[in-house]
Amino acid sequence: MAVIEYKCPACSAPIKFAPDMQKLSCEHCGSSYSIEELETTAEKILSGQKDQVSFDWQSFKEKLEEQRLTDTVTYNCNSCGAIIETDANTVATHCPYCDNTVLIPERAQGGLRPNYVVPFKITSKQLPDAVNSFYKNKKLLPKDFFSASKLRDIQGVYVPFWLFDAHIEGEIDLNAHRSVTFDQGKYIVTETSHYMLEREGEMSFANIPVDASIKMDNDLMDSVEPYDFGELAPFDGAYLSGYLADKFDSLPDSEIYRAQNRMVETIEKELTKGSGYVITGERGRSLRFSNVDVKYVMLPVYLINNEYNGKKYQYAVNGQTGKVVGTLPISWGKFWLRFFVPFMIVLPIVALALILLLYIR
Amino acid sequence: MRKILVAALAALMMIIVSAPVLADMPDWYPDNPSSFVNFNDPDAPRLVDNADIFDDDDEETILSLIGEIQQDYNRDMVVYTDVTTYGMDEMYYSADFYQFNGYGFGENHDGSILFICMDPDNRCWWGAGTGSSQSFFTETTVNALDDRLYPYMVDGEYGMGVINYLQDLHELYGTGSVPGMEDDDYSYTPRKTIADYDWLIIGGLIVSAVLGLSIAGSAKKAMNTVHAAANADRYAIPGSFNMRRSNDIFLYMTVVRTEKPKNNGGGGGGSRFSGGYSSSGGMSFSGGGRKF
Repeated sequence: MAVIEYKCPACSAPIKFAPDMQKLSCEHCGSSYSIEELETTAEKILSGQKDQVSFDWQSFKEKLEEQRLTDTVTYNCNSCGAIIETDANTVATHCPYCDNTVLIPERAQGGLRPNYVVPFKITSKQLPDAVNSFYKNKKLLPKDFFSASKLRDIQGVYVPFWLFDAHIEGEIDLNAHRSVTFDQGKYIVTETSHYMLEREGEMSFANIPVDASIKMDNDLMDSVEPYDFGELAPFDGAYLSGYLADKFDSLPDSEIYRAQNRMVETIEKELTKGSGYVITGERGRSLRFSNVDVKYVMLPVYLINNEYNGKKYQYAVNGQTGKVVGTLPISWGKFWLRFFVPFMIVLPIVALALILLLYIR
Repeated sequence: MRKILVAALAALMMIIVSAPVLADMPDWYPDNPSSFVNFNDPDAPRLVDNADIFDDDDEETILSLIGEIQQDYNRDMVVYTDVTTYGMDEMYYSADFYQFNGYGFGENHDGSILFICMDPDNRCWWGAGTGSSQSFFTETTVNALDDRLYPYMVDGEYGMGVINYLQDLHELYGTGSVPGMEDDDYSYTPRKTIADYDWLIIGGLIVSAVLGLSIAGSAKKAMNTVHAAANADRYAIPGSFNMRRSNDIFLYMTVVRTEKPKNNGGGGGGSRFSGGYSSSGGMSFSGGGRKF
């Protein structure tokens, strides 16, 4: 059972019941409140109570286990350990994660059947244009990058994702203030009013994607969003033809925290929007997640591995929209040149101003 | 006998009480200023630099200019610096110095004095005239002279400042005006050097560095398009947000009162002026001065 502690609204010290006064009394600042007053003004700390999520994970896993993919071939990458699946008519030429070309096909039980898929819309022939657009306007690319870098054959990969739906109820108490400054005779007076803001609200979310592959870089998969989930289709093995598919190796109860963090960020923003105060800190919060639902989906991604100056660079292309994301190498010579350009403009102006001020009066 | 003893005791008491005061006064200060008999001493030094703020070249130039004023206008001129006023107001102290050291020409002791006090607790100057010089020291002319002297004094260029002051006084005696007095702005600043514009150079470097970091930083940021998703804004079901409770509870108020900075106004029209005062020996002066 959660224990509720009360803090003094005036000074935030712990506040206790004083039998002689029949009120809650603060030993630090001497303030006293009736229980009714405190219910509406005191800070409530929900100690020992974490964000609550109600969802039957076990039933969800059992339901997934009931259905598996058939007519598929599984490849095992002996370099990074990736297990990649494809249909019987497609050959995996290299590992999409580590670019290893030695892949061992094996007879294995088909992976768990996804609920949905967003099919590939971007073809591999369209990829060079997409990547070139990505390089364009990247002003710090090294001069020899285009001649020195190598793009391998690229295969599309269906990356396993969990799509979370949830309803969130949140309470948040904040410290805030508002200031007014004015003249009063020979003084400048600043009056700062301090407030406690109590906010409570709720919000629903649908299809928050979280990748279900440990090997896949989380930030890379976050960056390749958004997908148009209006094009979600019930999964069919035919979609795998010509493409690879990764198996999930991270369960939804391990990954839901990523979706939760994003939901919390959004609801906090909505709860504090337009308050007109300067928010100085959080006094406490309580969040409850309900109506949680999870879908196991495959989302299309092209993973491009590039090599430059002995270093590997990986880009991801959203297989539905063509959005390219990744980290590019930086030419530090170009960086410092850009840094010093303003000096070459501003300093001659300063020199001219000095000449005018010193010698021409 | 008894009366003699009482008178002697009274005299002794007066000596004992006044001894500490007299002991703190300079050697030239008379024991009884009110009964001092004025005199003119042509041999008294016209430049007394007890504070040692002038170099040899400055002293030579100052003495030369004093000589010009004396010759051209038959009025005396004294420049006196010291590190103390012996507890006196600089207005009266300079007047006493002029009178009790025998400065001035003629029976009216025509002339003026520029006194500079370098006491760390009371750095100031006072310029005043007596006799035929007195009428030249009006509030307007004193402000004009002091406006022109002030920049030198705050910059520590005491020699140049006094030289310019003497030149201005020479002009005042000749034309009735301090140079620039016909203009609205009496302020005069000596020619500036590049060191006076160090703020411009430093400001230019800072602006360049900030612009450079902004331009280069922005280009660098564009090289990495991989970022963790911060929020779920695009996945919020439209219209699903519901604010159930919103309370703003006033806790307390803090009030800060800051006194407005005072304008010390040393740069223009800010002289202390007295249009007719007497030294301890009864000689009448007009003059003014400033702190620096």
